[in-house]
Amino acid sequence: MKKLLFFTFLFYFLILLQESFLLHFFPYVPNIVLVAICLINLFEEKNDNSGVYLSLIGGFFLDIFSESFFGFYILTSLLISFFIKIILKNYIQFNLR
Amino acid sequence: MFNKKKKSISGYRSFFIKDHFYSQKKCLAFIFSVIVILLFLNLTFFPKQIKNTFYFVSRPVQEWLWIKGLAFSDFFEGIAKGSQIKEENNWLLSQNKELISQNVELEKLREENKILRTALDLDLEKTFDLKMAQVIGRNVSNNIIIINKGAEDGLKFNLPLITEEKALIGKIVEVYENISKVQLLSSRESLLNIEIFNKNIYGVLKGKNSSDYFLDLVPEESEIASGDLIITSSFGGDFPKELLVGTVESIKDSKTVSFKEAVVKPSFNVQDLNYVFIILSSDF
Repeated sequence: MKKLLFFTFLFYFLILLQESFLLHFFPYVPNIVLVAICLINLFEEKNDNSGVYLSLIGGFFLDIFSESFFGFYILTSLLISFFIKIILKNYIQFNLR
Repeated sequence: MFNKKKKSISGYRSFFIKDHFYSQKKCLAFIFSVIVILLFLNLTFFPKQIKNTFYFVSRPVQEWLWIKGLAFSDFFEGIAKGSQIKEENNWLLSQNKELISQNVELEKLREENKILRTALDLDLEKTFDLKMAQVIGRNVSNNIIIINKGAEDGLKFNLPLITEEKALIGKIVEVYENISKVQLLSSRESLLNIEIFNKNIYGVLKGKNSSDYFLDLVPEESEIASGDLIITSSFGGDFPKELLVGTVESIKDSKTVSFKEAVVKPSFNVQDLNYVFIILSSDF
């Protein structure tokens, strides 16, 4: 729960930073919330599902500040999250000693 | 021992089978239910209300971040371009001398212009009913900007926006209570009737999600050249006539189509947009 709350605020801060601050430094800013979602899903523990919920929250914030239809980023981030989880589960093995 | 090992492997497997997110059917059901909820939400006014609330809450923070971002970028640009600035300074000093001599000539022209202005009534405030707004955000695609004025300030859908130099920026596509979203002319969805200044040539200007615009549907026999000034056409559309749009940069002669195409350089730089004017009403 604490993790979810922390990342909710982080995503909100990142999207504001992306939309109003970083644009002054780079002509094209990468979607840092989407990058954060990918990283969370890549590095979270195998039995932890919070990455999926966080991709829902991150997608929601991206949709708020996007001009495309509501839900576009929710679905995109959700699919990315599932894709990473499936790849990690089926094709990548960690050597645990 | 073997049995124990086997048990631990089966336990490891059952963990993934039990894991509800990775079982294919449940995964698909979850995504499907999300799609259904989102489709339902898109049919209601709920997303607009959510966006409105978030924009209202975020507005002060966005304004603050925008101002700080400007200040920081100016500061770092100064450091990063130190030697370049020195060279520029020398060049500017030489230019300054040249400009002083030109200034005398311009003083005469200013007087002349002042008289013409009064005669033709060309002042912006007199031609249009304007509202000034600050840019507080820009979409990563660079085709949408967010301004700090909304429905409360009398803004409506489709109202055009200009710079202080009377250069057309785009039009309002979404209006919230305190904030509005503006679609720039560079956006793929943007389409505009234009006229080439002093040449009586008409065409259509399209955005292609890049920094330049594209001029199309100009008759093949038309004589257009790079440097030609493009203004909004008097043939209707969403925008008032005679607003500055850009200058022709290069011409593409198509062998297959009976129209000329050209690349148009916008008359404003999106990176420099800080304050804009919304045309609430005009005499067009």
